Amino acid sequence: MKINGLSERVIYALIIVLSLVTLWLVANAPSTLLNARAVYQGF
Amino acid sequence: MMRPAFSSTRQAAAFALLLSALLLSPVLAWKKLLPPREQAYATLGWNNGAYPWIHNQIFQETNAIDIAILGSSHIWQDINTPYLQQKLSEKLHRQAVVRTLGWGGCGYDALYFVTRDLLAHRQVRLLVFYDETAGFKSMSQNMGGPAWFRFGEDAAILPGLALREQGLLYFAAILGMPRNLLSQFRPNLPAMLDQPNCWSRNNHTQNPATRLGSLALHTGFSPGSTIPHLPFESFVPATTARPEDVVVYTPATQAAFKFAGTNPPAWEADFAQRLAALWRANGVQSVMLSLPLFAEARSPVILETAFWPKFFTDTRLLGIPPATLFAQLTDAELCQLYADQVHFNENGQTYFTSVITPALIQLYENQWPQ
Repeated sequence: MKINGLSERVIYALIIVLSLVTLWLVANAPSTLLNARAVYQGF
Repeated sequence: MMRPAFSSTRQAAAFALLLSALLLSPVLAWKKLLPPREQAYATLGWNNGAYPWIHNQIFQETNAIDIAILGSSHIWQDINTPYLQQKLSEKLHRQAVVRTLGWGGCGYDALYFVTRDLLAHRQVRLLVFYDETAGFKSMSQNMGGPAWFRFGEDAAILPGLALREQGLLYFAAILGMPRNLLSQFRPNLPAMLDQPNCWSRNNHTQNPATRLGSLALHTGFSPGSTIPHLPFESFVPATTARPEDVVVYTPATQAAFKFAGTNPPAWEADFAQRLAALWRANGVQSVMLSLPLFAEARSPVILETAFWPKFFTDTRLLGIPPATLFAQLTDAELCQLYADQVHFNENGQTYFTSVITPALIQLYENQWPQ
């Protein structure tokens, strides 16, 4: 499969958008939710 | 010259695909890849709430509950459930069923999801709740969010919320996906409730599962999270406070209450309305039991942040003016009732419950039409 120039630009644009969405989700979350150890800790 | 992030466009495409799959995992999994609902609670340990006990009460016990006490740590630690059950049993001349389901992290989002799961499995006659501390916090302070918010089941809740809260719950669903997928293939067994846990190992605090879910902290006072607790000393306060001093909010008794008039955040108001609708649909009577903070101890009136009767129109708001509750107590004696600025210790829990119990039993007996 050959990826042409237009598709390449679309892929990089998608990576930028997805990265920004990820950053927003993380920045928006309270610290308690980001504390994965606490979220997944056991008994 | 900087090396490119990807050695080929195909590698960039694979990365974009991976990121898309992670971000869309709650949508892709939908309901088909989610384990049974009880697994949401089976994955949670004792540290952030009495979740093994909550799991047991929702999914294993089946009898009707006379009084269910639900909420975050404030009410979890402030009510002596065995005492309330004993007094209600004496009044009803039968074995009453009183249970506390408590967890860490306030917010009506957690209260809504846990209450919904409880009411889907058990009949509750009277539900007592309180989820306030000083001021309002942001949503999902509760670490159980990744477990109990499951996008495939609960996506319908999102449109009622602002984008920020939608993002927060969706992110919680993403964080919960690895555990959900794992639980689908390897289910978690229910916890053995009589085994020592983090509460029973620390400070001689009794296992909440042996106290009908209630947590009685066996610690002295600490004015701040970084300051060590004083050693615990048993203390029975001698005051003139009587059960008759407990007040139910009505137009005639409103002078005993002071509402700061602060509007709750939109998400909190949204979940409050969902809770009210949930209780109405299930025919559950509810009581909002005001619990005094340490800083409010000398207040002659019951202090509330928001005017909750506007949101919980069928709910009875119950409390006792703190200055009456703690009359005759010196500051040093007051410290012997609290574990910190918010929560009672075992002394405070025992004392407060003894004063408030007759009013709770009366509300149970005189259930009101909706």
